[in-house]
Amino acid sequence: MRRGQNLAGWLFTAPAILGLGVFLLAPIILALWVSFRDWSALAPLGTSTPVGVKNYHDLLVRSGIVQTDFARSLRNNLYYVLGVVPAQTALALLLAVIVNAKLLRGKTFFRTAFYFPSVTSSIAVAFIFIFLFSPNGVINAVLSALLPGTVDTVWLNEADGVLHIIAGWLGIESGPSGGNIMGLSAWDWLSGPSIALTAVMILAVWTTTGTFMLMFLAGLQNIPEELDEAALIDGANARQRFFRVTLPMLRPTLVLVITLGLIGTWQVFDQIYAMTSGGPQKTTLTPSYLIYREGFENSAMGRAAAIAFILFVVILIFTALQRLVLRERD
Amino acid sequence: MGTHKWLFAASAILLIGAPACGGGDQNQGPQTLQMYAFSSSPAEDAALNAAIAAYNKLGRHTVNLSLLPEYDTALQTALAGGQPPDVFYVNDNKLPDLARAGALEPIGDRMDNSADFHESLVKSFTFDGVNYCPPKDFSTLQLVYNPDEFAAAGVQPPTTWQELATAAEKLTRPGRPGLAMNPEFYRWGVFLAQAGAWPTNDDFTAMTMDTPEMRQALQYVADLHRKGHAATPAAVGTGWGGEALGKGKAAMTIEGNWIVGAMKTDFPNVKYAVAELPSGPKGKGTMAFSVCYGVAKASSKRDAAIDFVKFMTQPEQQLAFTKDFPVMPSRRSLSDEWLSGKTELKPFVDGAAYARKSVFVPGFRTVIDTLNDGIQGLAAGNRTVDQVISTTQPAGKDVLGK
Repeated sequence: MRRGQNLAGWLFTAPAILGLGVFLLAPIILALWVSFRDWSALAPLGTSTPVGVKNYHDLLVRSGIVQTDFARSLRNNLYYVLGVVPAQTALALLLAVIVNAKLLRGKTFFRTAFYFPSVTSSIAVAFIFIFLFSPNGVINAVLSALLPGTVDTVWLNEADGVLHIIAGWLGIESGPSGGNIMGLSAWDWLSGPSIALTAVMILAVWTTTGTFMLMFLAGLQNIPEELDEAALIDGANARQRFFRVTLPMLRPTLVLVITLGLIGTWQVFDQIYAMTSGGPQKTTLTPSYLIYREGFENSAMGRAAAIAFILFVVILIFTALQRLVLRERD
Repeated sequence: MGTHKWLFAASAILLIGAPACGGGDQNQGPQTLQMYAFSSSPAEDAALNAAIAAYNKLGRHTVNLSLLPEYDTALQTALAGGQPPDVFYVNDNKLPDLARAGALEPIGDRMDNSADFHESLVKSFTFDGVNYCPPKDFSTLQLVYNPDEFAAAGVQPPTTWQELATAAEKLTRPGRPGLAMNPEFYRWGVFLAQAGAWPTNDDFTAMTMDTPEMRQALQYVADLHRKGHAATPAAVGTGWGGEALGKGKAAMTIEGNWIVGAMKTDFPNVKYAVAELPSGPKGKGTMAFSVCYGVAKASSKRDAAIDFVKFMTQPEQQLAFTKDFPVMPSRRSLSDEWLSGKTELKPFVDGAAYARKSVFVPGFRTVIDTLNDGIQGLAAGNRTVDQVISTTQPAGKDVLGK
């Protein structure tokens, strides 16, 4: 009897296990294997040669152009994550609170409007942003109308880092030399996102906020109204009710949104591919785009696979950090 | 999603990858060949289809053509899977990678009258002394300009760097540069060639970025940009030089033969003319871009494929194929015939005689990217020539291995 149940259980889960195995587990194991080989991907896998940890060594330890490019991609993506995740989380929460308000008229309209960018194809949105940010695009037209003189900035061609620009206003033109980490000087690490990358970040916030707003909305509607009322009777003002009651109750949703945000932002590819191809001056190069460039344009699939695994570890670390920060304290 | 996508691609490659051993050519009689190509215009697709139909009519073999978007990725997947098409287009800059991976059957010397191909093109498809494939056709870079603007500004097509600088200055108006050119090696390289500078030496054993000639060439083009007499097409709100010229956002640009087709379809009313690029300190210089017919080493029908490529590179076929397109036949003997009726394109043909081979070694793409990164900085004015040289020289050493 027990035995029969076991067998039935395995049989019922077999299709799913088979599917996951073939399409998820096998590729991951294979990619891990490829990351320890030199493979051009222009001939069958059998022609590849084992190179030990060389691919990882080139990316992380040996100074050279491979390491510098990888360091640049990590720096760019780090600023991207630090900018996009807080912005999209805060904005999504704000929008969710607004469309959840009891007194708001036309709730359905706003919910649809805020969610709309999320269901639009990311490539289509990317092209619209190219037009918006082009020298004779809407952004410059609006700025020209608001500011004295004409603004003809080529936004997607601006490689100067935002923090460098701010430092420039304060009269700091270059940092102390040295402090070289992975081929980039401390000054280069502290550049901040370039103007071009900032445009991509705005795009990312705009397209993802809707989805996360829905999650927050679901979280908000799960909070029993009695709690809010009880706080009200206890004399808490609106601000206290939000930060002391609503926000703590939203913690699970917050964890989910930030986790998904971290994973999504560390893997940014399609917007970069459509808008900037890693330029200007490599300031929008990200690990995911580098995987594509190395694997499909530079015929170094082994190195591309190694980048994928390092990226995987980076995402794990960031998710663990985030869990540590947001853990229940008591 | 990103990571999973690549993992998935890798697994798909493995699963398909039961290697089909490239056995001999025992197959006799008519074969069915698979060909991969990319498409650049509906007109070119029609010509390619017509040429293949003509070949199929001969009854020797049958060729099935697949025109693929995302061509490089599709070809790479087929090659990695061990089941490549028998015949496929090869971009000159992909040749070193394909040759090193052993993907190509060397057929360059097995064509009829192969000495007739332009030498600069044959060089592009030669790797480690082996001539891998015959060039299909080619383009060169030259100076394309608006003759009305030249007349209005009293400028003649420049023949020296000094004249180009003067012409660019005279043609510059506030907010509109005289010259628009893409900030990349495959445009700026013409000035390197004219100065006698090049990223590597001829046999790719050493980087030669750190030379007075290189400094001179980069400084010259950077100065044009710094003074506002030259700019990137993006800076004037356009995607490339041809669009800048067509929209009147520049009076000159540096582009190749493809600009002819683009002007015809996008800006039929804009007048333009082609002149040879000016001579630099070391004379004339330009770059050629070409595509060849590759035959897969893993194919079991190589003899049939070679027969087909021989047919496609025959003078009659080449002429028919390039007649309605701006690209030029790769055979020297056809130049005059091709030019009849379009003599205004002669500068492009003349470029073949002094075009510099712009194909390097496997993995050199990273170095070109680094150089492009620097060139973008020079065009934007936030890098110095020294900085560009001091990043590109070691990047290249890294790849060349010395």
